[in-house]
Amino acid sequence: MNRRTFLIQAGAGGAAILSSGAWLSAESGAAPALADRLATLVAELEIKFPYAFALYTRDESLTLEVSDDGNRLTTTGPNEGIVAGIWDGGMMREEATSMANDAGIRRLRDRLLAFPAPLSKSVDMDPGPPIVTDLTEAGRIPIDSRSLTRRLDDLASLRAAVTKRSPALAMVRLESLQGSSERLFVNRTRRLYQKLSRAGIGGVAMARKGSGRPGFLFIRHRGIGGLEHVELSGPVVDRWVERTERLAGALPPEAGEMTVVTEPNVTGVVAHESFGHGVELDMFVKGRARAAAFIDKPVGSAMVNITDDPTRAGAWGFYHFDDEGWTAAPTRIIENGIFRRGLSDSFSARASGLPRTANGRRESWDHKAYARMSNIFFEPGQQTREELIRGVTKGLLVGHFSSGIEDPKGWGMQVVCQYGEVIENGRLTGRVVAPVTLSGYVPDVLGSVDGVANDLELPPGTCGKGYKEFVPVSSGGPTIRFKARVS
Amino acid sequence: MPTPKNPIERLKAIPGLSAWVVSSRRTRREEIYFRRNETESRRSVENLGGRVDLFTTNGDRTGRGSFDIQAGDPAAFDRQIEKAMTLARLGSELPFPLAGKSEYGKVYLLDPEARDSLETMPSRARAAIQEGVGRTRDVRLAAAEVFVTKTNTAVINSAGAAAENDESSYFVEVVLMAGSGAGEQEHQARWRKRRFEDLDLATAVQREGERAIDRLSAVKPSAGATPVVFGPELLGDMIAFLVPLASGASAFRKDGALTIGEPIAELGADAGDPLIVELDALFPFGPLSYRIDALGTAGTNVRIIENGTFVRPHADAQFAHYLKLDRATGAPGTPQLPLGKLASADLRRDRYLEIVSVSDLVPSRGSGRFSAEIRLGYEVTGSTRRPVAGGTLTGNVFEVLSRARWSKEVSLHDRYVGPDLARVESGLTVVA
Repeated sequence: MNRRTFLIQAGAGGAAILSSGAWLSAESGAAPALADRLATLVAELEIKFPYAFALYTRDESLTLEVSDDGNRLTTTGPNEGIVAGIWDGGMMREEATSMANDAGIRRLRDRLLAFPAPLSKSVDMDPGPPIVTDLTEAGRIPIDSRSLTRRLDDLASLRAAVTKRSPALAMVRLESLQGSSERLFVNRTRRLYQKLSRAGIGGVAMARKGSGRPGFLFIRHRGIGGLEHVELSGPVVDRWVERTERLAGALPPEAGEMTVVTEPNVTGVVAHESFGHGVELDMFVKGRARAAAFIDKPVGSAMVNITDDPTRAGAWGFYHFDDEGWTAAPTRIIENGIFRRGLSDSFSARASGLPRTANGRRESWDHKAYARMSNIFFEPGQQTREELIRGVTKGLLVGHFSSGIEDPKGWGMQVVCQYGEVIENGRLTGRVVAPVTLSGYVPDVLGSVDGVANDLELPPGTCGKGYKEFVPVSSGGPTIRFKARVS
Repeated sequence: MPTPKNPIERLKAIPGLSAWVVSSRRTRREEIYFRRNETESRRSVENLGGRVDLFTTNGDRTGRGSFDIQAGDPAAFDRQIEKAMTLARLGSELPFPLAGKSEYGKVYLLDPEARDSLETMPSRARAAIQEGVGRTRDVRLAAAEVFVTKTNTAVINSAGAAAENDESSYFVEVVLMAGSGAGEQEHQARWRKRRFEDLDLATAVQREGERAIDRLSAVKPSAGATPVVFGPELLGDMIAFLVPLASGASAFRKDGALTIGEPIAELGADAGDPLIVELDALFPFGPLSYRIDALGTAGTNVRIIENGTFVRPHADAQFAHYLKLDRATGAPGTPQLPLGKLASADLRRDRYLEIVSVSDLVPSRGSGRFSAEIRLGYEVTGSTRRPVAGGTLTGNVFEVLSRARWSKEVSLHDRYVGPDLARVESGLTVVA
């Protein structure tokens, strides 16, 4: 972690950018200069309303892609803007603009002040204890320590090496990501600034065998930090190529309830869909979550421990404070099979009377804040992956999730995976099936967990609330074993 | 704020720039969120921005650098151009020409009510939701969200393309509750339309309320192969999966499951009604309709699937050139499927499983296989209609679309224009 009192450097010229690779750091947002003006805005609004806040966000990314077509460099953003809100004792009113300047702030102020004053100003909202922070996460190996030209060359070399590993590979596309997320939050007691660097590497491979349907496999590694996240180790590449080949012409799995051993990325989605979405406290106050009736009650086997932790260094869902200015801290959701507490934003904590956690997150300035996960994971156990597989008479090893969906009220869950391998008599057979859908009733699934390995990973993902409101998260855990319906 | 007119003079003066596209976008959105009958939050969002794409010639290749225009900071524009040029010089894509000036069809995408009364539309939607909920006994509203957006988009490129368009959109999501205690059931529904009148919201919410009641008595479906009848939700999922696989990019890279000139599934005598899929960018109030796409290609119509065969890809200017197609068809427009010969009532005959909704349809990109949890359906035998939930529906998208028989009733649905109902006799299985 880097703590600096002054973060923003003046822009560099194109030649300097090319030689240093400092594509993102050369252009920074307007956050530090905005802080005073947002503080003034909050003060003006609080003359009329019990509580006001302002949040500036800026997000951008650059993807370097190498494929048969050549090199492609694709940017998103910069997407920046300001949202300001007032609480009138009953509801939150927000105005948001992409104009992150004085004119935009004036428009927000004028629109918000046009709303009628609340009948009483005696109802307050806790702004939190005073904090001023100025934080940046550049990572262990800063992105700008290697030029774009060099990184494109490295990516092309890696792609050539991957392609050579198997004649069955008909297509390999690799991409490297870099980006940044800035947040400046201001209320009457807090002035919080953070800038997070994002980096990663990923790709898709396709293998063909004869005239059958091709096999596809995506991989993705991402984290908060720098070039340390832009690495694919030899064993990871070997496994990617081997599994892509095996997926060509793979048949669907034998359907029915069976024992499954899930790799960390699938384990994470199980946590995410079972006791992630289902314990976002806005679901409680809307009467949408069955978990509301299970606080301090058993919901899984004693081997189940699930935590959400935005402070997990390097993980894709890391942050110092949430988008409502609450200082990040871990929340232990399930402890030895007992559901303890959920995840909240300011609205759901106030409405439910349950503790506030630092999980009020927005996709960006032009989206609403909701209770959201950050880095959610099954905590690791003592066993090894091999021990879990050895304990299966007949079942499946499942990896490479492609999607998951929650059902907090019905306590159903569904996880779709790209890869399954049949286990018989404690051994992997090499027989591959795909796609594999795991589903089941959440308490049954968690209650059947009878093995938890020690190989914790926190794979990156993107999480939606329903079918929108996308935020970066990680969903992880170790290899675990349980029973589920396979189809 | 930089507008498409202002930056163009700047771009013309840049040495080494071979082509450019500038777009502007002005969006205003009104949102309302409520739980039960209380308003949780109201929001207004104003987004003034756009995007610039710059192209350079790098030997026998081309490179592209892009950035979003930020309103209110003209100085940032110059800095971003410099960075985009740096990125463009590192690209090595095959060269291609941008679409030039063209006839831009008239396409109606702006709801007059959203144009004139944007701020009041969320409250009207709310009233319609409450009316719909009130029509069904024993159903309660748990939560709802309404977004109403109007957008003006303009695109200009260096080859002479220039057009603008106004559009609107409504997004409505409702969560309904039926029953009480441990047996309480939740039912969700969401709609996306361009016009308020197309939502027919009170009626739609009433229908979903009745489904919420049906969930109270739903049992697990019977396992095994079964004839299946399904409507816009599942068919929309399948079309949304199929269209990207039929893109010029996928055809050029040969990285999809479809091959030009070949059937999407080999079925022989099992084939259903002819599968024809067209993408029509000019369909009035179509969900994916547009007048000009992001690179400057005029909206048009293209038939991608004919009698079950993938006949040609939809392709933007880049991949149409690579594939030597006679024309670029731009971004995919609103999918259209033809009407069938049978009425919905005739498709709902004898024994069948009717699927209303599944949890999430995510087929395998390579094989088209899927397996999805059934959220609500009905097992029907003659005059007996039994609600079911749970279990999974498994099948193959390519085969289902090729085996389907379509209703002769067609409508403008959230993700396509076409049949209200489809039926397949074989190929789908329930795993209980």
